[in-house]
Amino acid sequence: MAAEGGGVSVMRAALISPLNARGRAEEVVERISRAILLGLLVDGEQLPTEAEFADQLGVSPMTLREALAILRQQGLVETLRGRNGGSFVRRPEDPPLAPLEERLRSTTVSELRDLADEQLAVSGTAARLAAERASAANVRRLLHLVEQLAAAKGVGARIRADSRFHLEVAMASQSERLTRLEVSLQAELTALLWLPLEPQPVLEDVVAEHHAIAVAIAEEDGERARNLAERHVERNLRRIVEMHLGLRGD
Amino acid sequence: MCPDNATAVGGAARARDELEILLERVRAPLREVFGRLEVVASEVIALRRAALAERGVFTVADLARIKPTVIEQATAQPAADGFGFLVAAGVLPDRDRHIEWWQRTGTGFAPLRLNLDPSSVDVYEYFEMEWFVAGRDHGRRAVFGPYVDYFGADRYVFTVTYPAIDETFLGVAGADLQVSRFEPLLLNALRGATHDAVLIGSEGRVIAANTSRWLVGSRLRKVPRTAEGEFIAVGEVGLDSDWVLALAADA
Repeated sequence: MAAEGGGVSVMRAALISPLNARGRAEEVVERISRAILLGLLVDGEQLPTEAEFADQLGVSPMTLREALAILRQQGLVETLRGRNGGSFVRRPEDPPLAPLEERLRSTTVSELRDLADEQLAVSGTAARLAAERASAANVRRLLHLVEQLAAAKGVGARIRADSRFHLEVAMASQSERLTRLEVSLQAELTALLWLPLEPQPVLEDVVAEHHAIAVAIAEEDGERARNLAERHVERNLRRIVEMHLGLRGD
Repeated sequence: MCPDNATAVGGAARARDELEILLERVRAPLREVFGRLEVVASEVIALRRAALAERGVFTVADLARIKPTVIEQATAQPAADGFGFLVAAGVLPDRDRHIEWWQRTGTGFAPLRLNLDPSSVDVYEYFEMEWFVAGRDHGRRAVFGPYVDYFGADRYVFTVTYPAIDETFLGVAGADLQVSRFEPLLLNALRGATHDAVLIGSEGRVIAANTSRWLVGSRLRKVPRTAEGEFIAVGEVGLDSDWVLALAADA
């Protein structure tokens, strides 16, 4: 039902798996805040009742209550009382940068490379299949998302437009499993790519790479789409490794 | 008359007979779903008429009384992952966009809440979706997909809709059907075919086939309209579905 628009279901937060086994509540906070950052949970969206939401996320209501308290403190969730009350998603235009920098600093080069290895398999194959299977509507949305990235001013808008593009490619492949993998890859990597740490602006290059992938998919050229998507992953890896090394050198 | 040609003519006639039987069998599961959606659409019309007769106004609270009907119909169709009603502009006095939609969960059905605020960049703009436009602009039912829904778990689905029209267009009753649960019904319909059979949707997308020659979700270069190329019999499923059933000569 939610195919053609930005509509989402909160069940999506359940798709983002945590990186490390930490406290259960922190884990839930991480999943929900990444879902909000990527735009999987949209601004203004009402969360289900605590019992329903805990059930969807597979945690106890107690753990969820703890997590919601932390999210309220972070300003990502607002709870209103009364007849039209409930908990609502509040997405800041841009995410706080310090925790993202900390994540980039504490992730090793070998881990970053391994993430990119997985993404090479997922994004490359998704692009090839999308070229064979995409609908006209998929192609329209891909081109629209390229424009959205080109026009995106802030860090938050760039993260959302970038990750939405790659998720749209995965959806156009008609593969639910590839889409699921791409969601968790985007959740781990994309926010780090737009940290304002690079000496040279890269937005135009990234937009050009997305555009080339979209055109190859529109022209139903699977091999070209795969090659372009793989090169894009490799370039992104170099960007992110350079940023990581720069942070270490501080 | 050359005997080879006579065999071919007889073969084509048999293929056409088989096609008619299979088409009717493919229509059955679609009719079943449309029937359930029609119950919901009719109930919306009845609720609105009653509210207008009583108080001269049809509100969100009146429409919310659709819930037991929606849950009943959704429960009876195990492939349904979501079920509900999406309201047309101008039907409710207090808001343009409104949905009554229930999503299947582990334990039952939970209402789906979406951002319907048109001033938000994240608005769920269902007015523009093909299956809504089919009802609003053409008074047609629609079958859309299969497609991977926006990042949902277990969300490779068809969306099926049925318009509610009572002089004016009120909206569409809709269901999301999980491909993994609806596919067996379609393959069942194709069982017993003596030819390779493929069900094709709009844009040439394969819906189902009784052979690995065609795989669900992939696209044919061209939707066959008549017996041509590898296909010896081709017919439309109808029911506003855009679906075509094609039987192939042996590969």
